Amino acid sequence: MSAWILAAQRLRDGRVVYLSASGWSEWLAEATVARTEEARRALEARAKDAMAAAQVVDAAPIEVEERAACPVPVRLRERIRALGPSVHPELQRPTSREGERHVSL
Amino acid sequence: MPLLALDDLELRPEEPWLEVPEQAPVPARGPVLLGLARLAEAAARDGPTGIRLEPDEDPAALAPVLDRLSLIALRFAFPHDGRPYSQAAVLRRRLHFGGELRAVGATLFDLVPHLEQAGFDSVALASLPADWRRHLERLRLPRLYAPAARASIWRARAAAGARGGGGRP
Amino acid sequence: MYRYDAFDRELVHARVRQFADQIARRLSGELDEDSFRRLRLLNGLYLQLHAYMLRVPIPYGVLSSRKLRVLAEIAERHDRGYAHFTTRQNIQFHWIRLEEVPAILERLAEVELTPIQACGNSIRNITSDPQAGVAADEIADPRPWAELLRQYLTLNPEFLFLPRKFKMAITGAVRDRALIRAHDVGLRLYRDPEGALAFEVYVGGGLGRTPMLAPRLRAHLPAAEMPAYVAAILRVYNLHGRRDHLYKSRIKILVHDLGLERFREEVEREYAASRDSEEIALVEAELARLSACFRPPPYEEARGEEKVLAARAAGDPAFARFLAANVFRHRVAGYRIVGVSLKPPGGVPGDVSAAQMRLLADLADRFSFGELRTTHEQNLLLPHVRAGDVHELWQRLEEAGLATPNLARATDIVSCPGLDYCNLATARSIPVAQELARRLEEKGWSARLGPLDIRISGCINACGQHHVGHIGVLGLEKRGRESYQITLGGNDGTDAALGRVLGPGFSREEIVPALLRILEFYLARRRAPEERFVDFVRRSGIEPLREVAYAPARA
Repeated sequence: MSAWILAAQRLRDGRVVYLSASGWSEWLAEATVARTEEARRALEARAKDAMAAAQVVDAAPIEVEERAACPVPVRLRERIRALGPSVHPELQRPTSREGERHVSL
Repeated sequence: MPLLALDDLELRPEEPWLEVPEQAPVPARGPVLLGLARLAEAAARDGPTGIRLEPDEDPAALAPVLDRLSLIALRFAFPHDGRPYSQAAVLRRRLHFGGELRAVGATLFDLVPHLEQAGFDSVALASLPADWRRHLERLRLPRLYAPAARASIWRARAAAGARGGGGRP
Repeated sequence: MYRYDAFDRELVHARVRQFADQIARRLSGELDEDSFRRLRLLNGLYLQLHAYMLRVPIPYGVLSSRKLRVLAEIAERHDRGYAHFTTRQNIQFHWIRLEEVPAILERLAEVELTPIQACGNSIRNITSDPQAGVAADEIADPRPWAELLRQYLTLNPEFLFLPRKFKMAITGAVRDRALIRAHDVGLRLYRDPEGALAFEVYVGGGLGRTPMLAPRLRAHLPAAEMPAYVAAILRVYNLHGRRDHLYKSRIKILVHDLGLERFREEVEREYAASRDSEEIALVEAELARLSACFRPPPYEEARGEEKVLAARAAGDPAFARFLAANVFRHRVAGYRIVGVSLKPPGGVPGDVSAAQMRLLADLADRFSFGELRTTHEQNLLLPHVRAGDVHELWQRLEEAGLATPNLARATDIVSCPGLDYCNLATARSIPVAQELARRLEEKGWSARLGPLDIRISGCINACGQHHVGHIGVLGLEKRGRESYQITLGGNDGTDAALGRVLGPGFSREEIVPALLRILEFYLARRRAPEERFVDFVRRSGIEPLREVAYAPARA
């Protein structure tokens, strides 16, 4: 079953962020998951507002597989965006505030 | 539609240039703006006459009647249409057109300084921002290298060299 | 090298102020992204997968120690401690914050660097032979002409809105080390039978979606007429290039659609009509002024050091390997051009740390009159090294991991950043380069394979220039998975050729083994070690290599 989260990049520094319950979060695990078309459209509407308010750029829904601890992006590209460059493990970041890593490339 | 003169960056009053549609008769008197297809009528006419050129039309076609034209309007099909800049170059530098060169069509306020540097004399704008003079100040371009630029670094250097001075703007 | 005068400084600083203002208005929301995107591209700023990327052109590849130190500082203060050298002699930072860009640009301007026209639909960095001014086979120094053209085409008011980006390259040697035929306009400087300087002009080359090698537009153009002639080419392109279709708007398409003959007529007519002797006089005046910046450094009498160098090599096999691969003959007897390899096997091709940059700046000061060059293979050169200093320089480079003896060898792999960094990418490229280089090292094939140019692109835009590699790899996406196509038979330089696709793509797991099978076949079947891979492919054709590549993997 399709599920979606909203990914974007913060305007001021270009860092990848996800729409979460408390706003834009760097932590993939906190991303709000949309499970219906309606919920997805609601995410997109909030994205449009955030872009208009100059908070983020290129906000778009991305497909995920829903898991207990953290949604996992389906596309490799999005997993790379979530973690960091595959060739620099030392520059990669965890997927949760607590420092866990729920996604592999 | 505001008309901005580029020499002093001041608004000019709306001018009575009559845009004559394709099939309509050309008035005998008064300033008219005609399309390229009506070049012969433009040549034969008394009174101020201008030609409006489409971005894909050849400015060299105006060569035979250039001295009878007071105005050439170059139409921008979209804001970042680069073609009118080269049309302007051909008209100014190759054909030595001395009349008014005006940017019309999909012009963009932010591009006014580029038009000025590229040899345009005026631009018809769809609108002006509220504080347009301050905006223009902020958009102003410094002297550019190209000899053909209105304010050219190469020319300034050559002049300074001739005077024996150093490279001072 | 060129030094800014007050006019250059005024232009660059005005641009920094203007862009800083535009950034402030973007951050406040006054400017929307659509309006801002074009402006930020014209100032060298892409939005990539993880952050903003800033591209800083190194004009015609000439770099000073002073500039390099500031680039190191930017890597440390504003990035994550490293930078990347590209295939167009540029440097890139991959972790930039928009809000810090004004400070970065101010700092760059202080050392006469600017990202003006680094990206977007603009006239990009004019690249040149990294050995310009010092090459043993140099006919005439292209650098003053490259600088002349850089100025002429920087913010040239007539050409600010071309249909698409425009890339130029210029050389002045027997061997073309700048790949001029893969550019929209390529220029070769030479001396005509009267001894006067002239240009050969190529137009309509380009890699990417529809790779084409530029045909020759004009065999002989008096050198001082070059900027005006280039302007005539640009004018024809500006007026007639397609603007309706993103993938059909490069000049190569116009040349192809009109046919070379007709295109040439248009350019020659335009040039003849607009040729302006006043402008030519200005060109000559400007050239005279800036030529003073490109005089040779104060070389010393070092002929005697040739023997020293030879003796060192005889006694030290590791040094001899370095000499053979990374050190090049110089115009001046007793001097050498020393290559800095940014391709340690397993490393990220073209990446360099801030510490390495600082060290290289110090080494340049000590051994190379403060000067370096960036190459098209993502390496660096120290262009003015006394023969007697090469050994000590090698030791310093070795300590810093910058002396892998592999320039133009199999492990000198060119790779774009690919899907690890780039928004446009369809596959990762760096890990393929890393895995291949490691396997080649393990097998001890690095030196054995001889001159071999392997290039990897992570998408069809071909920033890795895979079309002109002896072996090219193109990373695509097929059904959600990375899929790698091999091309063979490409070549750069004077003998340029475009590679042919071998067949269907290989998976990430299969691509390196397939490449190794091809190389193993070559090693087994070459006539002699002197038969280079590129010549072997010409001789045997790609059929046998295709069979071998697609053979079932051996255990």
